[in-house]
Amino acid sequence: MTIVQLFFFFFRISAVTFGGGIVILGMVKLGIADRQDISEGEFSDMVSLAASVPGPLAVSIAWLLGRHYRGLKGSMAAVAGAVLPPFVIILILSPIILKYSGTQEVQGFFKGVLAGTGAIITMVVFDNVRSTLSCGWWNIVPFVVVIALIGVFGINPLLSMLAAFLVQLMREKLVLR
Amino acid sequence: MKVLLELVFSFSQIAAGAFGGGLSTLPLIEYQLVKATGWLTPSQFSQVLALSQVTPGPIAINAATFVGFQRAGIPGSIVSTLSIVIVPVLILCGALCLLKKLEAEKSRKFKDMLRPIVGGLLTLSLISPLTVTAQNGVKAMAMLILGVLLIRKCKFFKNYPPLLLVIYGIIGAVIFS
Repeated sequence: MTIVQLFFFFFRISAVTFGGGIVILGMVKLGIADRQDISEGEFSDMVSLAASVPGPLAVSIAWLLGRHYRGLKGSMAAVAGAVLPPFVIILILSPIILKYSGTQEVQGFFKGVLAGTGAIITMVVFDNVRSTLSCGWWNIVPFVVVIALIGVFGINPLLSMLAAFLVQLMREKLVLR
Repeated sequence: MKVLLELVFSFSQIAAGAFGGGLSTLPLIEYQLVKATGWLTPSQFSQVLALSQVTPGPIAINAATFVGFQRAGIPGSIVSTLSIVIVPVLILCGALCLLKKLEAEKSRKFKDMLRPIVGGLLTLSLISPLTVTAQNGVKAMAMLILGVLLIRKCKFFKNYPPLLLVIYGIIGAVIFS
């Protein structure tokens, strides 16, 4: 892919993908499935790395795929393509929402969307927690540590995550030798 | 200028902890924007969450663009969005330098250790939409419960959740005003 192609490849996907995350990865995978210039193994290595670093998956996978094709310039073009659609859309909507956020219709709209979002998150959490906790009894420890530190004690989530990760490391060192 | 630096500081922290992508980032966004800075009230935060669900793109980028605009206009939305992008890219570049080649085994282990932590964050992401929806009244709660059933039983909504949200938004604009 050329630099321009990289930009529009991610621009197209990003403009129509809601919620980001795993859906983006699926769309990117579909988009490169028929290409000869990248193998399935190379792509799954990218997905693996993208999922191991923080930040939106769309950004990290765009950076890695751009790098694969055109180095640093490719990365920048791909990330720009991924970020511009949501950025522009929110930028256009922001003044409108701020102006009309007091009206009953806009507030009602958000109340409705939020109820639906609550339903979606409930399903996601249910499936995720069930599979996470069922793949080993120990998983409940860091799970509870994170919820307690952030939810009960109100500690900065970054520090809480670090604490839970240290718990994981300690177990790795002490118990699983 | 001070406002812009504050935006960079807050959104960089969100980006640095945004493991797992998408919904699991919500507790970090909520902590930074509601608790640490007071930029949003809990109800405004739930509106930002709802907005991010009916617009394309990752939640963190949607929130950055909107809150950046609200705090400091277009320059604010640009620096906030860039913070969400640049921090992960720097971490990714650091990871690429450290790992001469991606060791699948280590990456898998790291992700396994992160998994229950991300699960905890996901669970925490439920609190805001559930409490705000409960405050929005019986009708909103009924919509939420119906939504869970619709996503579970109806393949159509399961495959296209944003569609459910748009329909819910329109219903909300009608019944809550």
